[in-house]
Amino acid sequence: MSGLEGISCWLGGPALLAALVGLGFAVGILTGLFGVGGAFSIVPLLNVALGVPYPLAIGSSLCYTVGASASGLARHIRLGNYEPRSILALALAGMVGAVGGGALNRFAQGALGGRNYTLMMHGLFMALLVVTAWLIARGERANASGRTLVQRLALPPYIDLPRAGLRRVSVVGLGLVGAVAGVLAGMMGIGGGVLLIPALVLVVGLGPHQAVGTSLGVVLFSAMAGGTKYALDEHVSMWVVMPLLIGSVFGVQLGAWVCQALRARQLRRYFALLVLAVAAVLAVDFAAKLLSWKP
Amino acid sequence: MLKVLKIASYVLVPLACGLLADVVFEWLRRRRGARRGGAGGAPE
Repeated sequence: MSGLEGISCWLGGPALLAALVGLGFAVGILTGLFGVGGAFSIVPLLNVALGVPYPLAIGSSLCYTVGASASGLARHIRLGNYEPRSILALALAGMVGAVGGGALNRFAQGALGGRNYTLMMHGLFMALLVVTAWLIARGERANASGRTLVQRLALPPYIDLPRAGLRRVSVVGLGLVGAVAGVLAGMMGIGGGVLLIPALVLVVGLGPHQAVGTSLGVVLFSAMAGGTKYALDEHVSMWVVMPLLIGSVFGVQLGAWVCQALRARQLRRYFALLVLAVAAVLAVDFAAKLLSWKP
Repeated sequence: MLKVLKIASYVLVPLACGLLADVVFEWLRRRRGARRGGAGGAPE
């Protein structure tokens, strides 16, 4: 298992593989329970719990997200939960954003140096996790107003989204939403579904079910572009990607099964608490790194 | 050429695994549905 050398600072060989399968399984349960990818917890946990450097954790998480979102998207396409025209505009912008986010991350590594870069990433993830917990606890609320933000945006060209019942939607507006999701994917290695789904409901005006399938389509293409960027920089390891993917495939099934036994409101509260717990772990590591710093 | 294939494999292998997992679990779901509800498999 020579490919496992140098991935983690603390674990090696079969112990590292078992930890990665376990992490994939745990994140898979979350995906099955709550319907979001969970990559937003994979990257910080890979770094803090397993000692995987951020660039390798981000690149590997993006390639894992490709597999996880492809599986989810295939199911949502069969169920008709997607809006094809908006996927095209959002995904194209998402791919550009993901490559840009990857470049931004690489620039930050060079400009800040190892320790400051890790602290910056910890800070970004803590902010993201707190926003995520808030969004989850709040729940999805459909857009109540008549015209959505991207319909009111006076930036041509416009397209109609007949499947969602939306007319004259600004392509530039859709592109901006996709680009922001893409930059987050490329910069932090998250799929971005947890932020993209509320954005698609509130800003674009898709229905909640359509938003889930459409988000998975955007996440898939953004993760493919971002994963390729990190692979070119040699920041992807299949020894990380495959155990995560194998663990998550089984975790998703268990999560979906448990989901039927719990109420939606209960689920949201537990998930928000879990996300805050990951943020707390990051905060402790952040403080420990700051306190141990010697100029 | 080898490098291009290697880079592509980082994205295409997880993609193929994700789709394969979907096919396998969909088949299992249909089979379970067919056992419970008779012929025709489980409705989507």
